[in-house]
Amino acid sequence: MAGIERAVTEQFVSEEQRREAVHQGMWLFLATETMMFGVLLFAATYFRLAHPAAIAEAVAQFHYVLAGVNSALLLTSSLTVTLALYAARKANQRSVQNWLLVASALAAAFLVLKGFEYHSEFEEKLLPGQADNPLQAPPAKMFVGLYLVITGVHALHVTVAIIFALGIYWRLQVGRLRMPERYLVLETFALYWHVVDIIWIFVYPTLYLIGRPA
Amino acid sequence: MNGFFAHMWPMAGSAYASRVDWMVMTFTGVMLLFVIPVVVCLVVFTWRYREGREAVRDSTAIGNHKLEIAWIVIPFIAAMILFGLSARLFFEARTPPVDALEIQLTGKQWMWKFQHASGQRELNALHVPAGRPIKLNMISEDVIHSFYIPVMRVKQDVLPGRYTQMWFQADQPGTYQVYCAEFCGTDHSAMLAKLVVQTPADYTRWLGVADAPGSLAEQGEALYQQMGCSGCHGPSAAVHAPKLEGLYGRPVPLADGSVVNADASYLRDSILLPQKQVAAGYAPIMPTYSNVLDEDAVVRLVAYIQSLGNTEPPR
Amino acid sequence: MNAQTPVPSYLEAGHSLRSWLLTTDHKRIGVLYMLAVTFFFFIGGLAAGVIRVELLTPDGDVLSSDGYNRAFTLHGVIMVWFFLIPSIPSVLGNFLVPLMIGAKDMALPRMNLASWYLLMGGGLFTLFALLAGGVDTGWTFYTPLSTMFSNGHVIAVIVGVFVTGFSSIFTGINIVVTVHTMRAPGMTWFRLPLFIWALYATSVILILATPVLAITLVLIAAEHLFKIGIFDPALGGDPLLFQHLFWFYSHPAVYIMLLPGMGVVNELITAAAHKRVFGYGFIAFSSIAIAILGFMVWGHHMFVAGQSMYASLLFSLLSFLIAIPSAIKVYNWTATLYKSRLAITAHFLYGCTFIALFLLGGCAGLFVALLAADLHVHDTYFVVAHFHYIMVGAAVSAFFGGLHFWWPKITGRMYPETLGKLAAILIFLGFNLTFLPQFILGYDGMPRRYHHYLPEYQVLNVLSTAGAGVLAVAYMMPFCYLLWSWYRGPIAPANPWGAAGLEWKVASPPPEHNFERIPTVDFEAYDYPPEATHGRD
Repeated sequence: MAGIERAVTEQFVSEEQRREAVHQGMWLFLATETMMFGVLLFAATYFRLAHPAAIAEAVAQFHYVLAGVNSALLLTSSLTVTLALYAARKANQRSVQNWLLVASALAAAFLVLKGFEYHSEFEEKLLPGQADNPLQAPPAKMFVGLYLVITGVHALHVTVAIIFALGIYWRLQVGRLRMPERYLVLETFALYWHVVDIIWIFVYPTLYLIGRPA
Repeated sequence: MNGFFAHMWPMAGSAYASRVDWMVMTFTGVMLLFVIPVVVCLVVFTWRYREGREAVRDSTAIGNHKLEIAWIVIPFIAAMILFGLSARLFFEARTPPVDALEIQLTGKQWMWKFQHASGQRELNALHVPAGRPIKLNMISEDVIHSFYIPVMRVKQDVLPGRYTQMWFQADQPGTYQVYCAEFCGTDHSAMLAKLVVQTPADYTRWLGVADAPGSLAEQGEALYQQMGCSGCHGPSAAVHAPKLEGLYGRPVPLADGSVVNADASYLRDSILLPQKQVAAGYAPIMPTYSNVLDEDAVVRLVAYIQSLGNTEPPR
Repeated sequence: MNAQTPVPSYLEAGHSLRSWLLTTDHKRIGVLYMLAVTFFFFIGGLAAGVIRVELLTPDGDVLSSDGYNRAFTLHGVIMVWFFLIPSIPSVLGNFLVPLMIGAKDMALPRMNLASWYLLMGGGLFTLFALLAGGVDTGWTFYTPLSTMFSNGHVIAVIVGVFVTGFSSIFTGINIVVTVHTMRAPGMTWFRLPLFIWALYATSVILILATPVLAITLVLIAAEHLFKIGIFDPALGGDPLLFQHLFWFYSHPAVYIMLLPGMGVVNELITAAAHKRVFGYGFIAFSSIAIAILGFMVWGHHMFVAGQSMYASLLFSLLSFLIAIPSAIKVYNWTATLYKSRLAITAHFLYGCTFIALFLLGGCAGLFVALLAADLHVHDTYFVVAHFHYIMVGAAVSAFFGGLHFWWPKITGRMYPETLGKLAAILIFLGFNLTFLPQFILGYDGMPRRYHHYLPEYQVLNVLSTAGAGVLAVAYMMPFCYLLWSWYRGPIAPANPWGAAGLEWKVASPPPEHNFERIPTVDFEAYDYPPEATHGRD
């Protein structure tokens, strides 16, 4: 079976061992992502507890409906990735590729909407350093900066996930990967995608919903 | 301990400092009690059981639960006793006496500024009377510094944006070294000061001689007029603003429902960051004075407000 | 003796540069790391030399204040992130973990190679930034100094350290996954060498703590570039938040630097003593305890920072607790020597150096955990002495001890034993001369990070610098004779020390895939037969 990639070294004694090792490796990497975002969400929570009124003022300016739509997009993309895994188990290469494209499109839409969101914040003069900021309290302005860092870092991860998805799409296209023989690759990628989604599920309420004035 | 070979031990400038030295000695003694046997065993075992030397080697011991538990529990108990001793001293160091003489300190790159309650200002030198507790109310104008008096065995970081406190009581007159102990940039090692401890009589004399443009509270009142604060806070103001008489030390309900104490920090924030803690029932319209008032000016205003109805903040 | 043709060692499997730079063999990667950390050790050591020369006289006459501040920042950044953290896990760990557990390689060899490139890339980038203008904030990057008042290349250095953080994370992930999934049949957890337990605990910290550093650095960069105000009180931020985030990583980080050394010492002592370790279970679990407790004590760096009194009390208490598992190890190593058959080799001397200097440094650690004492000695040379006793006196000695112990395995050559012992003794003496005076300097009130100081501190500073000179010579010695031995040393047998452990059952140096057949393990760790100890002298 020429062209199909294999493990580079012979360190594994069985496919079972290899699967286990790659799985654990990815889960541990995801633990690092959790720690990273955990710190960011901790910082947000800390400031919210220290300056509740100011933070509420900032949160009131955030576009929670738009971000809500974004959450739906991301959640749906996770669904499509799961459907890709289904298709892979059924050895349906075409279907896998299609679902990967859909997932990438949904995530790309997420990024586009995020871009619109940042743009409107720019128009509303909410960004750090902008003059005529409608926000009065300094902690409110600072919280917008924190929001930018958190959502920006998350958006970076979404971008990386899309690149992975398209990379797998391409490798399937040129026949360098086949499902279900290389299911492990898709499974590992899916884990990453889901964690990026799950992180957003924590980011969204923390930044947009909690403490939002009625 | 000092002088002959090298300066090795700072003198104890206060009763507290002596107690710290005693605690440290006790600690060292206890540590030696645990360390010396280990070192002795290491040396003895190395000598006795070295290859080529006849020795009894019939042990197959690869563990001994009782022994292990013993050498966990006993040091733990000793450690807890030491912790307790130290915690007590720490409490003392961090709880200024109520009747302490309060002096305002501002740190900035790379100098120390002091303001006495009666208005005297000092730069890189601090005159204090012996035998009285001295409390420093400290803030930085830029980065984090740390005010360190080795002979008193205390230091405290001086932060921007927030007051921190430190207290000590000097025993004997003399001039003592003070350092900045938190790296603060280029001239960190030059940010020194002198603590000049004087007899009460000399201190009173110094106060009379040192140039003082009025007491801190009087200077604050001048600023109050100069900045036009009575325009909103005065009795005939058109704007609805909190009254300052009797405010100091009282609890203040805030707009978000919580209650804070009107201490120096609250007053400082109200002047420099007025949106941070808005009093309940008032609109958040007070402008910030952060661009016209430095930390030295703020402490004068706080002293003035304190003088308008002097309630000691409840502890 | 076997009649098969000798299998080529890993060193002979390819001689091109490409075969080294694109290797996935954990042993070659270990050697690549060894070269990398040696290089960074030199740079950091040079900076230390410059610092000590400056401190010979009270006046700042060698460097300007800004230059001095950049020198100690360079020293800290390079030594912590590019030498100490990778040293044992990535050099000795990479080389030995598969061998010790009976595997043919690490679980994720390509990630292993990637981690080396991340170290080199991040390291060289940071080095360039540190030399081309530098950074004057100290390796601790306290805000608002680093975000608003520094006039150096803060962002560049941050980027380099950030990149290298991923090297640490990948190494940690690799070790955990390897130990979980690739132990040979019969190699149960409690048959593992204690070096593996220590590296495992270290790897847990690497995985969980390093991301905290990464994101904290991102926040500093964001603050620096966009002035968002997270750490600026005038903008509603909190400079103390930085300290909490930074030390939440950096305290566990010091256990990243210490635990592997403790792991090495297990191997050194048991091999020298030809005896099973005393209290295997206690030592194994003490490593885990140190890793867990290590995450709970970060506030002991902040007793005077402005945190609440009650928080300080809690952190002090927990800091005392963490001394207990460390003490257990020391007692158990000492007990291991009882009725042993002790070969006083260079590696044994390094093990002893670790124990002695760790004892002293650890007691100093308890000293600074004492709240009332720390109010006096925080940010003085006392703290500097404390952490150098642990990081250099203990951890670096363990690294050198491990290098000597496994040198025959790594290179297939023996180093000159007498020179080895001499260097170990010289390191011990030079180190104490350098850092013992600093305890006194600190209690006497000399603050740290001081470019110039008051004349009364000079004598002790001169002693310290003299010690540094001895130490420099002492560290150069192994560099010279180890390098020499690689080319001219006598050929090493498979097990020159008569030590237990799977790594000694393969040739020196090992073949490329370690084991022809994965061994089945039916023996305990350190299974020295009674004759090894009781045998005729």
